[in-house]
Amino acid sequence: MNKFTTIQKQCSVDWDALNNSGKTVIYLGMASCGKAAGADKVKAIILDTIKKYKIEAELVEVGCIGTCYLEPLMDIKTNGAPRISFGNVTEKNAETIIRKYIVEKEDISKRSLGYFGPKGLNGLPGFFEQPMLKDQVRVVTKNCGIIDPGNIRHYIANEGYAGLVKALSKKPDEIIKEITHAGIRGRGGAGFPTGIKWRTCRNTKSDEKYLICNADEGDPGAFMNRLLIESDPHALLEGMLIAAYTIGGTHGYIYTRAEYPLAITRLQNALDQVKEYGLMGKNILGSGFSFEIKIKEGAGAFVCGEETSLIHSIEGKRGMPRTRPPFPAVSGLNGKPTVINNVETLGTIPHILRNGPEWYRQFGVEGNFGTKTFSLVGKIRRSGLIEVPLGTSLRKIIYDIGGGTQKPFKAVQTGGPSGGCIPKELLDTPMTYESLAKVGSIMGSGGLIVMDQDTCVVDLARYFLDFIQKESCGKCTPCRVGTRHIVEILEKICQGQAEPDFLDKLESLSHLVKATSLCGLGQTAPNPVLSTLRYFRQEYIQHVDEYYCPALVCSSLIEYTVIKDKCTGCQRCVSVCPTGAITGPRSEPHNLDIDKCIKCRACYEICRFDAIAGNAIVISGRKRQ
Amino acid sequence: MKITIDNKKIKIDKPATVLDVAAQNDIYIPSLCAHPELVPYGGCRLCIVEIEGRRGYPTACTTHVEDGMVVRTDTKILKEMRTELTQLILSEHPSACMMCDDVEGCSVFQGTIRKVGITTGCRWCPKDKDCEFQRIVESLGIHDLTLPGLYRDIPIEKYDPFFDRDYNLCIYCGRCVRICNEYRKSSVLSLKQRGKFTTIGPAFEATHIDANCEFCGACVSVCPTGAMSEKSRKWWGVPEKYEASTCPLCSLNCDIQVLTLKDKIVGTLPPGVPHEAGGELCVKGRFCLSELVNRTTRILEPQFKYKEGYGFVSWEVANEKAVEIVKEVKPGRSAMLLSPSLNLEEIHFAKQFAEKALHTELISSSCINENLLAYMEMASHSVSLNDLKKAGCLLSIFLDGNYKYAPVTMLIKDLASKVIPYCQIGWTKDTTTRFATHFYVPKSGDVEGFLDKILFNLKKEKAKTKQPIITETLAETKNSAMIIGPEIMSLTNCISILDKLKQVAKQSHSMIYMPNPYGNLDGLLALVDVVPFDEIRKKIDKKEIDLLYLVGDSAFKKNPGVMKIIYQNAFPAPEDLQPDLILPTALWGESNGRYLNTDKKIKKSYSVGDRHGYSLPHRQVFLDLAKSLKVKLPKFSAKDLRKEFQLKLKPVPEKIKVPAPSKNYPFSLVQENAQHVYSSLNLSTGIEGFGDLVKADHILLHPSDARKQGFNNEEWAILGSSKTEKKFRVLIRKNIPKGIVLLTSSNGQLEFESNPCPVKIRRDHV
Ligand SMILES: Cc1cc2nc3c(=O)[nH]c(=O)nc-3n(C[C@H](O)[C@H](O)[C@H](O)COP(=O)(O)O)c2cc1C
Ligand code: SF4
Ligand code: SF4
Ligand code: FES
Repeated sequence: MNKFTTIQKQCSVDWDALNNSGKTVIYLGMASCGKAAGADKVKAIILDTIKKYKIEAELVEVGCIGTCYLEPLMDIKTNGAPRISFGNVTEKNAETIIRKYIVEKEDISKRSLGYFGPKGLNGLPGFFEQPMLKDQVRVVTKNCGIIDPGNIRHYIANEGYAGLVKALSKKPDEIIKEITHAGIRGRGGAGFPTGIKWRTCRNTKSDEKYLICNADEGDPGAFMNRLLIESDPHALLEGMLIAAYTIGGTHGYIYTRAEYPLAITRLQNALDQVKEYGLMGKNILGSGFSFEIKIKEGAGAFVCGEETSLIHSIEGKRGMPRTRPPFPAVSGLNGKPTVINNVETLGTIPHILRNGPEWYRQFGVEGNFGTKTFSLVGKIRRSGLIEVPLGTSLRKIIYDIGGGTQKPFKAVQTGGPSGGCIPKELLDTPMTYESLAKVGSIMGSGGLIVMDQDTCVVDLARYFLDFIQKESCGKCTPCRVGTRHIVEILEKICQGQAEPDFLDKLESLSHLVKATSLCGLGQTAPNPVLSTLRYFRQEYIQHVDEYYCPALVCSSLIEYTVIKDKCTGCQRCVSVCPTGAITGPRSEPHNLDIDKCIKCRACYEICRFDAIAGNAIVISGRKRQ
Repeated sequence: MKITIDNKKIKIDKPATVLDVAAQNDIYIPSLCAHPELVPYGGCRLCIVEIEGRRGYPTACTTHVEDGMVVRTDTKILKEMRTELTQLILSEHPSACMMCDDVEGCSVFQGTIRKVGITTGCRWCPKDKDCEFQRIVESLGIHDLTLPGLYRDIPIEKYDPFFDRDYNLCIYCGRCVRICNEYRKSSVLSLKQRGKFTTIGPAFEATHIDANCEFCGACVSVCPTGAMSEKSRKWWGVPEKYEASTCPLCSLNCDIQVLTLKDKIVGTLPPGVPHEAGGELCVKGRFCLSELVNRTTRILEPQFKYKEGYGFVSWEVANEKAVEIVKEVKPGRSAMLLSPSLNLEEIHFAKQFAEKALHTELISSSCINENLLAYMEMASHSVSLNDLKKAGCLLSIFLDGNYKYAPVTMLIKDLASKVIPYCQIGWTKDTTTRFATHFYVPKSGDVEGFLDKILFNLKKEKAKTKQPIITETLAETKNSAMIIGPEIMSLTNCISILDKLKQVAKQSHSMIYMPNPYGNLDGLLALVDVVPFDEIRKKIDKKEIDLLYLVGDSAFKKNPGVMKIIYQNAFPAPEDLQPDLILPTALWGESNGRYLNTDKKIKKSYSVGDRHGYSLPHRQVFLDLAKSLKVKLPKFSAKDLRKEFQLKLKPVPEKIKVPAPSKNYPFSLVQENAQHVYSSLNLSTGIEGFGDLVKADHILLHPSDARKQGFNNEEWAILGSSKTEKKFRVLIRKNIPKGIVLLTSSNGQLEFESNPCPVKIRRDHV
C-alpha cells in the first residue's frame, strides 16, 4: 500500500509538471472520432511542425471530450498561458496555428474554443462554458479528452485507483451498502440496481465467481462505451477491480466487439500497465485479493449484448439468450455466479468509492441518482457524447445542449433501435427509467436520435424493425416470425399497399411480440411501432387511407416534378440523374419523366444547393382522392 | 410443496417444471420445444402461463415450481396469445395438411387408378398424421390462417444418406440441435444465421458427412414435424405398431423397437416414446435394419440347379433334393459355414443338423481365424457396459467409433465430459476424439514398440518416458478401463499385440471391454466348437470335403472345388458360386430368436414382420430336412451355452517385422476390413447410404495430404509399398490424421504385406 502511495505522489508531481510548468504541451484528441475526422494526419503535421521550427514541445495524445462535431481537437498550453483548445483542426491549418501561437507568439486565442483549468486568458470563456458543455455534469467522462488514456500515470495523478485503495480497506458488505445507498442503476439498459445485483452474487456460494464487463455496445449509432474505453480505460479497470473484490470474483472478462480495434488496443495496453503496477494479478496491493481480466472479442451480433447470450458466446456457444431465472448473478458463466455490468456502470463505481454515496446522490433525482451519458445524434446542431444528471428533461438536452434542430423538431427516439419515439408535446419528460417507460420508450444504453419534420415515422419504424428482425436470434417464435410480419406490414404501408385492417394487425402483433418474447430484444422490439402509432397515428392513417406520406419520404408515395418557371435550365440535374429521366436543352425548362425516375433524390439536392440552379425540383405526395 | 394450477391443488415432492407437474395432473398445456431428455429451452412460447406475483407470461417449461405457486393455464388472454403464436408458426409452415377444405375426404378417397405420385396428392409431408404440430393446431381449434403466408423457400437437402431435410417445415423448436449436442454430444447441428434467414444444420454449410455426423438419427426421431424424414420410411406414413426387439448388427445387441405397417417392417427406433427417445443406437440399428430386410434382391423361392440351369422348386421338391445330396455324401466329408449373425436357435439347429445328419464337426464361419479367436478369448474377460460406467479413466485402443458401437462411444463421451481422463490410440478421429485429453496415432512399425513403452513404464516405479500421460492415468486412477476395438484383428502380429495389451491391463489393474462387429459371434462360440476357416479351406484343397453347407455365409466367390453346395440364405449367392440348392430363409424380425451379447446377456428378438416370398426361418428348414432324413434334432436350451470356453489356439505364430515409414514410403497405410456384414451381405456394398459412410475399396486421406498430392475426391490413386502396388479411389476426410492412409477393403482380405504398411501414393496417369 505504501509503495502505491509513493507512486501516487510521483504521478501527481509529474502531472503538475506537465500542466503547470513552463513547458509547451500540445494535446491532440485521438479517439476513434478524432481519428475519423483526420487526427492521424494532424498528428503528423504537428510532429513535422515541431521539428521544422525546433519547438520544444511535448505532444500528448488524449481521448475524446465528447464534442464530436468539433473534432479534431488540438489543445495548446504554453509558458504562462493555460491550455486552450482549437476545434476542427485540419491538415491545412494545424501548422499555421502552431506557428502563429507558439513560434510567432501571435495572440490567436480568440480563435480558440476556450481554456481549461482555473486560470482564464484574455477574457476567453472556459472550455466547459460552451453551450454544449455548460449544462453537463462530468463524472464518468471526467478524464475523457483531458488525460492520455495510454498512460496509467495520468490516470493515477487524477485520483486514479484511489477508489480501489479505499475499497480494499473496506469489507465487501460495506461496499455493497455504499453502492446500494448511492442508488446507481445499471447503465446497460435495464437499469437494475447495481448494489442488489452485487449482493445476490456475493450471497451465492461458489468456489468460482465471474465478473463480466459488457462492452458489446450493439446499438447502431451508440458509441458511449467505446468512447469511454478509448479515452479512459483505467476507469473501467478500476471499477472492475472494485466490483470483483466486492462480489468475491475470481475471473474477469471484458466482452467487446471486434469492430472496436482501438478500444481493444487501449484496453490491452491498460491491462499490461495495471499488472506492471501490481494492481492486477495475485495479491493486489498486498490485500490478499487476486484477480485477472481477459478480453473476449465478439462477432458483433446485437443480441450478444443481452447478458445470457453474452455468457453463451464466451462459453463458445451460439450467442442465444435463455430464460431467466436463474439470473446470471446466481448461475451464469459455466454455471457459476456471475455479475455482468455495463462499461459505464463500472466506470462510475470508482467515483462513488472515492467521493462517497452522498456525493453521488446530489446528481439526479430520487430513484434515479447519478449521471448518464447519451449519444446525441440525428438532425441536431451539436451532436456528440454528453453526460447529464438523470432527470434532466429532453428539452434541455435537445435545445440547451444540442442547440436544437435546423428544421422544426418532430420527435426524439431514446434507447437505441428498440426505443420509442417521443413527440414535441412530451419534451418535458425527465430522463428517468420510469418516466421514459411511461411514455412508451426506454432508457436503453443512452442513444438519442433527434428527428425533424423531414422524417417519416412509418419509414422510421420500418427501418428499426427491419434491423431488429435481422438481428433476432431466431430462437423464439414471436421475435423471429412476429417481427417479420410487422416489417412486412410496415413495408406495405410505406409502399401504399396497405389494407384497412393493417393498423389493428400491427398493434396486435406488436403487443404479442412484446408480451411473449423470450428476451429483451423481442420484448422491446415493437417499441418504435407502438410509440409512433401512439403519437403519430394520424401519419399512419394518411399512409393507409390516402397513400400520402406527409414527410415526403416514402418513395412509392411521392413524385418529383420540375417547376417550369423556376428552372434555369442549368443541366446540373441532367448530369446527376442516374436513369436519364431528366432531359431538356440548356437554358430551357427541363422535363422529368416520372416513369424513369427512381426517386433517388440526386436532382433535388443539386437543384437546391447548386448556386446556379433554381430550386425548381420539388417533391410532392400523391394524395389519393 | 403445494401449488395450485387452474384451481387444482397439487402436492409435489420433488423439483419439477410447471409443465411437467401440469402434465402429470392431466392439465394440458400445448408445448412444442419441451422435451424430457433436454434442458428446458423456452423457444416456441406456446406453454405460456400466468403466475401470481410474476410479471408477464412465463413459460411453463422453463419455470420450476415453488411452494405456494398459483398458476393459470387457460385464461382468455393466454388462449388468444397461444393461438396467435401458432398462427405465426403457421404463416411460415405449409399448412395444406391442416387447412384444406378437403382434409377429411382426401385420405378416404385417395384410392385411384392413377399413379402413386398423384394419389399421394398434396399431402406430401412425410409426417402427416404423425406430427406434433398438427396436434397442437387441432387442440387450439384453428381452422383458418389469419396471417399472410411467408413461405421461406429453403432448398431441400437430399445429399446426405438416410435422411432428407426440408427446413421449410421446421418450426425451430431446436430439439434436433439440442439432442445432437446435449444428449448425443456429437456437436454437428446448430442454429445458423439470424432473423428470417435462421436455419439449422452443420456450421459453414457443410454436409452432414463432412461435419462428422454419426447418422444416429436422434435428430430425426425427435423432430416434431416433417422437417427431417427418413429416406426409407417417408413413403410409408404412420406405422401401426411399435414392437420391442434386439438389433443383430453387432455384439452389443441394443434394444430397439421395430415399426410395422400391415405387418411390414418399415423402420426401427430406439426404445422409448417415438418422438422423444434420442436413443443410443448407431446408424446400423437406426437406419440399416429395415433397409436390409426390405432389400428387393432377396431370395423368395427355393431353387435347384438342374442340368439346364436353375429352376424354381417347391419346398417339397427342395427337401427331396437336399435329402438326395446329403445321402450322397459320406459321413465326415461335409463342412458347414455359419453366419455369426444367426441367432442362438438357428446356430443350435444348424449345429445339431451338422452333427446328426451330416455327421461332421467341421463347423466354421468365414470370419473365424486365429486373430479373431485370440481376440474373442481375451474378450471373454470383458466387463459389461454397466461396469464400464464406473471407470475412473478410459483408454480406447484401435476402436474406430465412427458409425458403430454408439452405446460405447456415448459412454466414453459422457464420462469424459465429467472430467474423467480419456486417452485414445488409433488411426481415425471418431466422435469421442474431441473428448480425449490425448490422441495418439502410432505409425507403421510403431504399434508394438508403443505398447512396450507403456508396459515398461507401468512396470517401473515411476513413469518417465514418452507416453507418461497414458501410463500415469492408467497407473494412478482407480478403476481404469481399456476399451479395445476389433479393428485390432486385422493388424499384423495381432496375437502378440493382444498379449501385450493383456499385460498392460494386468499391470494397471484395468478392466477391459471388447466389442465385436458380429451380431452373435459370442453365441456361436458359446455353442459350437468352431474350427478356423483356413482349416476347412485346406481340407477342401486336399479334396477331403464333398458337401459345403452354407448357412447365411457365402464364404467363397466361386465353387472352391467341392461336389455339392447347399446355400441357405436370404440374400443371393455370389454369381459364380453356383450352389446346387438354394434355400430362401427368413431374416431378423421375421422369426423369434435370441442373441448372446458382449455383456454375456441373452437378448431376444421377435418375429414382427411378414416373411418374404416362400422363405422359411433357418430353424424350420433344418427341422423339416431332419424330418425327411428321419433324424431327430433336440430342442434348444440356454443351458447349452458354455460360460467359459477355452479356445484351441495354436502357439503364437512367428512375428513379422512391420517396417516404419521412410522417405520413399512416407505414409502409414492402415487397413480396416469391412466387418459390417449381415447374413453374408456387406453393408458397405449392400446398403447405399451405409456405403456413403464407410466406403469400401477407397483410400481415405487427410485434406492436407490430399492437397499436397493434388487429389480430389473419387480420383484414382496408386498405392505402393515396397512389394505391392494397387489402385484405389481417393476420399478426403477430415477425421483421418495426417500421414495416415485408411483403407477398407470389401473382401475382408489384407491387400498389402503388412498392416500397417509404409506406402507411397501417386496419381494414376491414364
Ligand atoms: C438485445 C439486448 C442487447 C443488449 N445490449 C447491451 C449492450 O450492448 N451493452 C450493455 O451493457 N448491455 C446490453 N444489454 C443489457 C444487458 O443484458 C445487461 O442488462 C447489462 O449488460 C447489465 O449491466 P448493467 O446492470 O450495468 O446495466 C442488452 C440487452 C438486450 C436485451
Ligand atoms: S426475443 Fe428474439 S432475440 Fe430474444 S430469444 Fe427470442 S428470438 Fe432470440
Ligand atoms: S428440424 Fe425439427 S427438430 Fe429441428 S428445430 Fe426444426 S422442427 Fe425442431
Ligand atoms: S414448450 Fe415451453 S416454450 Fe416451447
